[in-house]
Amino acid sequence: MSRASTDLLFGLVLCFAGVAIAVVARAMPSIAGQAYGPGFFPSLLAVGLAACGLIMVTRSILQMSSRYAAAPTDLNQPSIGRRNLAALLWVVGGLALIGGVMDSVGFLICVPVFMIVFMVILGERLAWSVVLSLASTSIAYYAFAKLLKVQVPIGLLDGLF
Amino acid sequence: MEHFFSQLSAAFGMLADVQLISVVLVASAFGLFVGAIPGLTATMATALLVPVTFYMTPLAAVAAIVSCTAMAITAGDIPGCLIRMPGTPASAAYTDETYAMTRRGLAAQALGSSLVSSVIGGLFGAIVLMIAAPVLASYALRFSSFEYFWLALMGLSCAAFISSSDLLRGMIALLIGLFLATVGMDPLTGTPRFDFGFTALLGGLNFIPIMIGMFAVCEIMNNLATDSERVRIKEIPKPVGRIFAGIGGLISRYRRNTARGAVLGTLIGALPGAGGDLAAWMSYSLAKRFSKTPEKFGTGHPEGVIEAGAANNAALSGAWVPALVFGIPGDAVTAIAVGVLIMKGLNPGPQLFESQAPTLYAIYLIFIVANLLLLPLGWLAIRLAMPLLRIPPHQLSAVILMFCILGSYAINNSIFDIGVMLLFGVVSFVLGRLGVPKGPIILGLVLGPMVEMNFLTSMAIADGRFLGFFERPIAGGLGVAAILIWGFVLMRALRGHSDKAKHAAKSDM
Repeated sequence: MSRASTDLLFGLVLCFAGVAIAVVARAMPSIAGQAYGPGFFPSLLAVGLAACGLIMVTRSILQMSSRYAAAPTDLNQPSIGRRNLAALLWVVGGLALIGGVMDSVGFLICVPVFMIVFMVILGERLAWSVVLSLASTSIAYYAFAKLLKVQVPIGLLDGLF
Repeated sequence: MEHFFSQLSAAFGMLADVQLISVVLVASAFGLFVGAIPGLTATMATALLVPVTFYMTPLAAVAAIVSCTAMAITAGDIPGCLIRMPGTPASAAYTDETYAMTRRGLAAQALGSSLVSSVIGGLFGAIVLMIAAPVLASYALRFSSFEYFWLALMGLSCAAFISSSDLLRGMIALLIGLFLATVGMDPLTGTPRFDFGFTALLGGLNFIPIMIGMFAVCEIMNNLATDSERVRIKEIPKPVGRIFAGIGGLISRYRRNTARGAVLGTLIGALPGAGGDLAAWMSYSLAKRFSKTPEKFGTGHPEGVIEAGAANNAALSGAWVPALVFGIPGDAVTAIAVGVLIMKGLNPGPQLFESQAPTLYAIYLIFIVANLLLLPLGWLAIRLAMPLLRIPPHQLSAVILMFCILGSYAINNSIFDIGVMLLFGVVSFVLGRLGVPKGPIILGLVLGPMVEMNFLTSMAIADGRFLGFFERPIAGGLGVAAILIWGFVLMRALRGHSDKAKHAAKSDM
């Protein structure tokens, strides 16, 4: 995807977001005796976002017509290697998974698993990944749960600690 | 004067605390560690530190942030000098120069001069902070909602204008940040806004998971995306010799550069949106411009390194002047620190200088202590640099991700905050790929409630008349200044646009 077409899409998303925020803000209750209710400031921001989106759309269309030079942005990023892409997806998916199961499974199980998978994807040896993950999560658990008294979820290991 | 000395002695009393000193030492070591690893920024170090500061006293929390940041920025010079990879963006301006010095066998001189100039710059910035902040605060006591509105607007505008070469993208970032600040209950009426039915959002978006997501998770994703995980040290540099040998003479020879870097760094640091990296780039260019031997720049010459080294550390203290006096942070790190201060019940503003004077004096002293500690700890970090640089990046990323999960969770013991961290990590990554800067988002998020509150209060006082915003002399002056800045920037943007159009038309012909 070219920079101009990415900008076009981004501009359209901003326009849509601006309109959506404005719609929600308009539905907010007005306060009796007050000219400016809770929706006033978000409405101003919504107009700003939609306007920026519109400018971005216009600018990218002009760029596509190649009459204008490209905008000074840094979008020429290199392509991502397969391993790194897998690790990137695992960061997102794994963190989402942790959000779903950490309360029931426990920090000391799901976080080491997350770390091991992350390191193995990136080519680290399994044995070393296991050792590093277990050691670092145990130290962190001790520091937060025992020293700082944070209620770190223990899940399936309840009764052992 | 007697009052001043009693406040100062109370501040010294607050510093003479074993727990506080331990916090400073541990945070410094952490800052040095993060700063010395390429790809990990000073802002990331601060964001990761914040969950732990939650369990500290307000002074210890600020001390941890200040010492960690100062160390991280200075330690960023080490990998830049040894393997040509800046540890933090603030070191990028003179990385080529220090690396050229290393290739000439002058690694010790490069690291020694950047370390000593950093200390001088940091101390100068701290002294300016000590003098300027109370003076500005006594003046700011006369400010009403009108002045605060214009100040916050000017601060936000600067952030949007400076942080990106593209004004539009800076503005988008700012509007996103301001919108995020509206999530939760309306500050005047308590009406829930954009909570999407989540009770956890009624109190607003939690600042800490957002910071961790934007600066730690996002940075790891960026490192993966730019393939820097595969970076290995190909050429092992020779051990660094005595770094302080001959540095006194060198600094004395380039004393004008040191002074100019310290002054410029402090001034740039005080501008919202402009941090140590911009200060270093500007100082390096100035050093080259005013040098008697500009041809030596880029060949391993210490002049620019000394000036830019002084500037990036001075900017750190400079950023705290508007942060403490007006609650307007100068950069992302200070924005995080302001968030921490608010969390601790120390709302920045001129009243703080009256109600918490000893704590503020203690904060100034922390700046001095942290900068002085840079000398021995910086020396130690340089000695330990090679083992640090050999740590495999993906192992480090895994451990950082673990701390991200734990840190986000620990604030409210809530899984929801892990989701917030992930969401903002992904959003920040995508926005980064689209060229949208992070700085204005953070400043918008921190200053959003202040802008909205002061805007609505002022509108109520002025009966909805916008001219009412210009009726008080200071507010009027600030308002005109804000409009002039906006006009100037818009004119420049439009002129740049029309120049491009002309250029394109010519090349079409």
